[in-house]
Amino acid sequence: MRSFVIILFSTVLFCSCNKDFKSEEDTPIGVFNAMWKFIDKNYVFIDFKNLNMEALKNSYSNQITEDMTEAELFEVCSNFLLQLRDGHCFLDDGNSTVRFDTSEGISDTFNLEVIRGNYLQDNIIEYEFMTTATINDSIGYIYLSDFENIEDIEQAIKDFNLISDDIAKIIFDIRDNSGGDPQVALSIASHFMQADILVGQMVHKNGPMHDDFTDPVDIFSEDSDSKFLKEVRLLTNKNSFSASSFLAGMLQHQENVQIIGEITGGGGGDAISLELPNNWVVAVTINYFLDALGVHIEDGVIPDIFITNSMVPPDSGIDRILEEAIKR
Amino acid sequence: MKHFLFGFLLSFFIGKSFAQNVSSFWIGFSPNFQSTKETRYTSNFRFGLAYVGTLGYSNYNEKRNIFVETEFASATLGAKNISSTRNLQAGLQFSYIFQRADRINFGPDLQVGSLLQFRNGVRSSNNSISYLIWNSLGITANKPFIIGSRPCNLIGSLPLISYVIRPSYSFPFTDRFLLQENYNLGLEDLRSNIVKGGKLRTLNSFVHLKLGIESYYFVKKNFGASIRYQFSYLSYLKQKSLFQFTHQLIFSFMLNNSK
Repeated sequence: MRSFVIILFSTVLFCSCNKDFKSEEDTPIGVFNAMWKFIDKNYVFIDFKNLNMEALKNSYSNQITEDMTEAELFEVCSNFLLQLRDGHCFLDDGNSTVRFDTSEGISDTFNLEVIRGNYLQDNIIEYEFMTTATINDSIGYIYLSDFENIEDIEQAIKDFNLISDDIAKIIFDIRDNSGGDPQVALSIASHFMQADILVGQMVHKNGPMHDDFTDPVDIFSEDSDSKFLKEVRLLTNKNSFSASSFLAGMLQHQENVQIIGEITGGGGGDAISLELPNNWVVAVTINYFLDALGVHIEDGVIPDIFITNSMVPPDSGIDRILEEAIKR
Repeated sequence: MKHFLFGFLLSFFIGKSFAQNVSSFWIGFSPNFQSTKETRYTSNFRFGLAYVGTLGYSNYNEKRNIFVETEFASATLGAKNISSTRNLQAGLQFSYIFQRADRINFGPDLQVGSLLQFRNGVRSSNNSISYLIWNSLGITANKPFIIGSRPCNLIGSLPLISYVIRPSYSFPFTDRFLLQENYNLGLEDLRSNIVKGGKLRTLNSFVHLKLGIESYYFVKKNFGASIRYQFSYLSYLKQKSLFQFTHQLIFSFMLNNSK
């Protein structure tokens, strides 16, 4: 009995000595330390972005005092987070959320109303996250605002295939689309190519060290009964983020696809989040996508044809990116 | 774990020979106060009250006691936080205890258990769920004693070797999903790959210690009740750790059958 009891209590004692057992205190420095540790052990782009985590720790922890207000602490922690320059990373205090602005001040000139009014024919169909129509007898147009619902996209492609064999080109517009489910991006990409084509690779963090990664795992296009294998023009801008960048990265090397517009906003990964000692929530990117040639998309996917609307007066009614896509 | 003591004391209370086989069924309900630290998504312990249902069966004689108990618990932790967690916990315990007069009874113990955690209010897809699933082989022991005229029992169990299933470091499913041949965003064969994705763990990385004390009250020959205080400690110490302490007060109603 004695040995049994000794085993029981020594086991609990051993486990209690684990470094993860002790929690950071709910103090300004405790909150900052918990946040820094989480980022240091989990953020996937520390080496890729040449982040010096120790220097960042020293720089920002020096700004923290015991008597600072919550608002002041939130500002310091937010500034630290923004150093990651990653739109997937955020800090949420329950009232507001801070995240890096991937458009970096570039004025948003995309306007769906201009397209509706000046370019689309009357056969417009509105879905929850999508608008479809024809531009002329041979060009179909799909605008996608969010990667949430693959069924609508499948239906739209079927509809275009049914309208006429004359539809020779689809313009697929993902400007100002801030992303959603990457799986939907894969499903969409698969509709514009044959099945089982390598579209990219995913690399996942698998340990606390900065270079703890899995081997890249290949991602292949899926089978589908509503494929459109003719010409596709993908329209992007700086606000095409996350799953939009995934889609651009997956389609980038397909012969029937041309990407037209601005470089995408990047965001090539998924995020995980942590609750800090004061109940704030911080999130960081935990994996990343490489295109079929092994190129990172975190800094954005470069279009085949770079055109921007930023020089066009907002009330001109002109969309240069769309006009280029119609011509090509 | 009503087993040995229950049989032993029952022989006094109902005047039966202890050589009989005695079967017991019980159903119990209890509040359960738990503190859980799942380092996959929180940097500190979260606290909450769970509600637990228990169902058990034992068959015992003077040589051995076969004991089976299952329980299910549900709790919401951090309900006022930005992201709260729904914890669902289930367990099945099977013990074969060798009865030894005036000494501590012990024997092998098989456990299957799971702790599933579902986060609310989060916008990050890769750790919105977490889980710990275990299949364990260990030891269990008990020691009956009397307080006043009240029969009581000290009980404890500890898994020694376990097959444990946890999510990958950064992925909602097991490491197995990150191998080329299994990586499948369509999540086909999900269950089979999760089950195959576990790892063998021993006491240095997986602990599920249960300690308790129980007291019995008999209303009639074949009908009684018991009250049990149970402390349990659950921990997983590989990569992203998990710690859980629970304090549980279990009220059970028992039916007995002697042959």
